[in-house]
Amino acid sequence: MGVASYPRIVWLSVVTAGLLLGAGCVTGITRSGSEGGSGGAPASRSGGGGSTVSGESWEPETACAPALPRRVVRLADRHIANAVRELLELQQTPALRTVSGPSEGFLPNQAPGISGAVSTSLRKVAEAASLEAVGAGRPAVACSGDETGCAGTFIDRFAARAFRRPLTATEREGLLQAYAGGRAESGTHADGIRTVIEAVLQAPSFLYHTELGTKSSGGYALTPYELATTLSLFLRDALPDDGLWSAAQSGKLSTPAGVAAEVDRLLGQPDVQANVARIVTRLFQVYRLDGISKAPRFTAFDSTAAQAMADETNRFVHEVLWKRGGSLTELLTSRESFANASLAPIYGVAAKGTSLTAVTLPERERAGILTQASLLAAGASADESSVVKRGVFIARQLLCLTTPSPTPADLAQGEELKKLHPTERGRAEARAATPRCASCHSLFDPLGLPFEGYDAIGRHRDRIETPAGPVAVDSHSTLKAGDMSGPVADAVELAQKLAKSRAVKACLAQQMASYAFAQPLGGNAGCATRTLFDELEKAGGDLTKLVRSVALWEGLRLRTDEVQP
Amino acid sequence: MSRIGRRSFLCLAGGSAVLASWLQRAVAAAEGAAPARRFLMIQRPNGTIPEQWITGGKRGFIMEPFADVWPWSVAVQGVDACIDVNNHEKGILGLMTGAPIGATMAHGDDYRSTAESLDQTILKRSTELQGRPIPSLQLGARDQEGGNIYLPNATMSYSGPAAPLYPVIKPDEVYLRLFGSLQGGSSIDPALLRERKRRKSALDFVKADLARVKAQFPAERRADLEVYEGAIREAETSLDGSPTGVSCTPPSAPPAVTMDKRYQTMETVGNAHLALVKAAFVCDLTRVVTFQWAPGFSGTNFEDLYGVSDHHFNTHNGDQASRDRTAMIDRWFSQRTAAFVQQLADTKDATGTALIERTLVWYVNEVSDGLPHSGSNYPFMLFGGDGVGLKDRGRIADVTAQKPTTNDLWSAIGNVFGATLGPFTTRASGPVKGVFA
Repeated sequence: MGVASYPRIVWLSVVTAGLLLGAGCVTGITRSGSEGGSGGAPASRSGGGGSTVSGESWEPETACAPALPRRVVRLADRHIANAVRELLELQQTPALRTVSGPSEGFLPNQAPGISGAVSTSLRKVAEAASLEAVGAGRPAVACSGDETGCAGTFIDRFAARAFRRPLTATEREGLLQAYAGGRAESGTHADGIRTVIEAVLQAPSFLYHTELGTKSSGGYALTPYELATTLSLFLRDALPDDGLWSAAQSGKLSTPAGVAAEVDRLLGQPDVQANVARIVTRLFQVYRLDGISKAPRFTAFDSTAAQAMADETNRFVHEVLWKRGGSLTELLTSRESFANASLAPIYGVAAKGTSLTAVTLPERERAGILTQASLLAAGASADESSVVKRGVFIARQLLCLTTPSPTPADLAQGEELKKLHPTERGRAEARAATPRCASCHSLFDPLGLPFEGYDAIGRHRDRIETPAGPVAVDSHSTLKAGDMSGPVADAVELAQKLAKSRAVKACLAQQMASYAFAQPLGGNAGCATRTLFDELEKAGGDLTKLVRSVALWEGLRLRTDEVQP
Repeated sequence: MSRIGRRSFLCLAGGSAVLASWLQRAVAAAEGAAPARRFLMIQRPNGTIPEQWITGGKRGFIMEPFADVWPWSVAVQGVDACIDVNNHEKGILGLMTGAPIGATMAHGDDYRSTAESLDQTILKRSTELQGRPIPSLQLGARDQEGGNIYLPNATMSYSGPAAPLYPVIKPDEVYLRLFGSLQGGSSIDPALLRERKRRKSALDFVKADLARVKAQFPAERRADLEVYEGAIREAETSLDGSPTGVSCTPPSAPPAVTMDKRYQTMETVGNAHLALVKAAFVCDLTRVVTFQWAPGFSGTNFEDLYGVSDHHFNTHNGDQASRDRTAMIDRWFSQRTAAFVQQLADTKDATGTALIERTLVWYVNEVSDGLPHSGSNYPFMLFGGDGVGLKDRGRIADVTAQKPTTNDLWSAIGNVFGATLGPFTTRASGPVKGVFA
């Protein structure tokens, strides 16, 4: 990156990060929780992650105007796949992937259009699902008596739930015609139902989700059906369940108390809790383990080990969220994790067999998710640790910093540094001493250095082998990062600082809101997500309360006049 | 779906000089019809080593594998990028759209297209390229790196602003789209006919729903719905047993492939894709294809061959040994692409003419010299015959004096197919001269 372009990026990063990190830079963050001079917080704001409005009426959010636009978006692959499974009560979730790249990325990466290739994939899923759904004894084809009447009943339930709103008479008639056309040739009720299923699953009314709302005080309020879908896609990565559907139908979602009741119901369900845990593991990019190889240097890292690492972190996150209080501190600092025979030698603990068993990881070596093998292996090169990868991960995912990409000249210089310095610390120090490198690397190298105590597959080490012989690991760093500024001795200390950092909480609030919106939030959403940060602070960093706050966030329900292009 | 006989399959595979009986019938059926012409783009990634691409005004080490197909070739020298290129994303977006780069998204290089790609524009403006069961194909032989977020700006084709047409990576999925509903020949399976009619009933509802939501959705979504409308038309056409007027029996289905970073897998997948492209051309199922060996900045593992574990990373090493390895990798792509051009020369379409005669193939890279991400003097080649007006073949056409950009070469290509391109909002000065008749 040319020097000329960097200052702007630095400024933007600083505006983003510095507003969060610097002392007293942003109202609302440095104060103890009130909105301060913004015209007064809504009087009904409650602690513990409660709604921003009172129980029965939507009070206008005077601190921040709506920030999210109205829009129509295509359902993400995982939303469509989960919807098909649930709507038709299938045994397995269909495999659907209409984009290349990681299938479990944090935010969906969908193109809005449905090209011929995408349409073919969707049709394949629809046809396979319809065949399974009309198998002998399946509820979709259960009928005693008038088969056309049964078809109408099936259409009323299936299509309405698939479209997430009541059917119009025209749509119902159209689907009855599809049924008739489908059974015309073979004469079987099953073929008619198959045709209805395929028609619905390929219809844009199913494939697209609207968040257009209706004009309301302060903006456009999502309709109850739209809100039910938005909430469900966030919390379940699937379409509304029976409870949410009923709530939309009955008008319950028209009041804050009604929405809160539904959100609380959902958050008490095991499948939703599991999905929320998946959101967090996606945020921590555990999916980066997919397909990576550490051969030939690290033969201990194979697909079995990688799966064990992912399983450990998945289970750890779920347990932290739903059995250990859900706090950020627990997530980032706890040594209570899980291991099996594959992970035991990595952690230096005793564990046997393929099943995960609870273990206490060594003190001074491990602290929370950041020092788990999954993240350490995913954030390393094939044959050595990586200050840059691990540092960039922290900067982007936990501090919401924008980190620029290197130019070819930068990369070439990096290669030269590799030849001159056999350790990552040496390279980092060389970069720090080189202005053109330091201008970017100062953002993330200090965050990556504390992880030098772990090799490329996450094993703790106190020495590093170099051509000139072993050198002692030096994982100290000095952070110049707002409320985390100061020295850290190692990753354990860094994790403890991150756990207490307001900047991290602010970033997580933004990240979770982005997930609920299924897109990165725009630049002007900073004010809106400040509310979520406040509530996370008040909740003592309880991430499950953050999820609740996001679900009840006024910004999700009330949109601007603008329609997203 | 009936399995193709060995004789017919050999024809599709280009292995036999004797036309199968179905081709002979197709020749008769095609008499009097305008001969089909086709446009195919093939991209290889990460740039070349310019001094080894063209050396002393002649084919260099990297271009040498094209010697056997030189009679069909024009290497074009002197075409520059239409925008300032300093990375792979800008390279491919500028090349393919001829439009300014859109805003970045979550991270620094995560740009968006601001226009449709020019292959799609040519398709829309050229009547001879239209009307096929599959309007166009987008194929790729390598998936993105795990965790790579820069997907929406690494593809070749775009249906509009911020609307990538992601390449299909799996050949079996491409096969399904091309041949899933097709059955030619004289015996029609009644069960298949019933199934087609049943599926059409489903599509009738989908079309009606599309019409409804087009009226209800905001104008901002109109273009996306039109893309889907095109896809539904394609699906309907595919249910029409013999949609092309060419009696065509599908080739064998390719096996499923598990993707990884190795060059061997890329080669297997790429060759499977190209075989399907050839079959699609023979069956006249489509006339516009973009194919990526791999997108820009892809890190294909060539370790077993050249000791390079990451193609992209290697290209950014400035030492001579690394540059030589980059040259060997680009030559590897030359060899595979040349082999496919030879297949196009050896395979005849329904009229009995070699495919290459009426197929214009444009071989591209998203950057020229990959080390500095240069957009100067792109390493382009064109392949084709008299049927696509490729003039004075078997040469290196130095058009440097015209100072053309990629838009200008696009304009010349568009003219071949009767599609006038432009006006451009990036650098352009008019169709390149001296390449086409």
